[in-house]
Amino acid sequence: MRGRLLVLATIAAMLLATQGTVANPGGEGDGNRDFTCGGSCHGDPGLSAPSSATITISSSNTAFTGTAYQFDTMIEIEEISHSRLLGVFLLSSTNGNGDHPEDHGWNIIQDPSGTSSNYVEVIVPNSGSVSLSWVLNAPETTGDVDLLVAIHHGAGYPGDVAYLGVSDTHSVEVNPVPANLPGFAPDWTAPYYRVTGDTSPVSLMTQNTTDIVVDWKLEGESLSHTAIVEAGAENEWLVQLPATMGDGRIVYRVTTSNGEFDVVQPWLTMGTTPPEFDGSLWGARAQGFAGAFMIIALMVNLQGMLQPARRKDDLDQTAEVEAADPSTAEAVMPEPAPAPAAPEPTEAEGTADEAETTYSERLVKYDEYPDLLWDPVEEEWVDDPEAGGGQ
Amino acid sequence: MFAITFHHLIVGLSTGTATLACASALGAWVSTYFVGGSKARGHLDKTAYIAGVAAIPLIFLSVLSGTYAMSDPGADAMSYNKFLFTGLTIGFLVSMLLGRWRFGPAIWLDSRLGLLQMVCAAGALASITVLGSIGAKMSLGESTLDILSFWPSFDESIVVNQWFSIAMFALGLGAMVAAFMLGPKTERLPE
Repeated sequence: MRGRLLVLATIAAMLLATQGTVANPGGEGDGNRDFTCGGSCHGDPGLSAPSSATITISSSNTAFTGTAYQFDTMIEIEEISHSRLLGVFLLSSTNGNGDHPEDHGWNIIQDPSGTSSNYVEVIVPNSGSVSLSWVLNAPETTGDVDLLVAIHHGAGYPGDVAYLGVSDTHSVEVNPVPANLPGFAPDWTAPYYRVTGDTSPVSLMTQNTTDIVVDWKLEGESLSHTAIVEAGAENEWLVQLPATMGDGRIVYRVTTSNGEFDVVQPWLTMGTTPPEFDGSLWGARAQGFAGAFMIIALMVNLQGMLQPARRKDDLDQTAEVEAADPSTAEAVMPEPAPAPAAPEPTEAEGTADEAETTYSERLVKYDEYPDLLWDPVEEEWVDDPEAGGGQ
Repeated sequence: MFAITFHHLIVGLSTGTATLACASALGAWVSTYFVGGSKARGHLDKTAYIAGVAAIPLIFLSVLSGTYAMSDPGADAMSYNKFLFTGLTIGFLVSMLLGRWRFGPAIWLDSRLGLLQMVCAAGALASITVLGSIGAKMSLGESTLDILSFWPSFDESIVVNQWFSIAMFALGLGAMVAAFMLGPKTERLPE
């Protein structure tokens, strides 16, 4: 009985220790996604609730096949999570699969982040209102095509459900292109970044176009400037836009013309990325080893310089004597006179002075070197204390 | 795949061993300021010496496994910085071991040499900390040390031309050989 209770208590403790599901409160990043499916936190009716946000779409209801079309939406939201993160979908249906506008003939040239995804995550400012724009190429087939916006977000307190909102369907009537209407090439995608300091021209691909005019401005500026444009290959235009640095973003708008029509295209955005890293494996290895060797060389030298002075070497005068007269010191070394017999130490003298006495007695004096004594045991010259050396 | 797993294993060993060596060396230096610290200093000195000797081959294994674990090592600032800081770590650690080997366990009792040993240990410990931080950013995207406002992101590096790097390598090697061959002779300090 006690064992069963213990097992039940353990299981209960394990169940209580599990956390509640919090989905992905940090978002999942921009990407190409279908509408939130029913099994997800935001799509499951048991885990989600309708968002109180207001979604407004303010784009034209007409487009021409294969030409650029700007989709503008504004989202006003009051209740959102502390991170103020909002996920926004641009969709053509809410089936849960095949919802991407590209599944319905659209081609996303640029999304609000500057890339070409149908799902972006944005931080809602304190004003509670955020405006987003997608630039698309309209389908090649005529007819009515739907576009709509879906959002999902969290709320500000623990245990809250995930919120989901869907706009009204925005129907776009795609009409046949008027004969010879100038515009972007259907397969062209706007470049969304350039390397810092890059001054190379931006390539634009068009169709039915004999001339283009490009206006540019830095993001946030009100005044625009006209860029220099050169004709490249067939249907290609090379636009000279100024180099950007740091986090600078440049926006530009193309007007395509062919003498019969002048079509003002949507504003496009291009960001800046840092230059590519030009390091190599062998360069890194060489630099790493060079650093190691230099530190070792420095420290080994410092160790030699900082080591304590050697007192024995200070007393040793052999090198000096040999340097002064090497022939005398080595080649014509006189035979030392026999050392006088050492007197027997008495008990009164003790053993403290015994070593010093023995050492002093073995030293031999030579007339040629009045200030020095020869130590036959160590074979070195030392200062004669009686002559004043070594004091 | 095996290289990544092996790298995770060997990095833990090398980081732990090198940190133990540096921390023990710092402890041995600090012990000289305490009366009766000789016994602890003896243990810390031996620990630092043995762990330092063990850390050197482990660091080289970490570099090798890390190189094989990446598709393009040295081609981004973070991995490039790892090579540079590995060089600094090895330089400081080997210098510390050389000092201990040349002067013996009494090196801590000499005020100037002991201070130099402490500088080597602190330099090696700082370099290992930077290496760990870069590794965490590469694998996890963040580092605990990011909470420090001054902590750099290490996503930029000083890259010199490859031939200049080789010239620096030759210069460093020459300087090290010259330091051993032409530098002051040393002898073991009496214990």
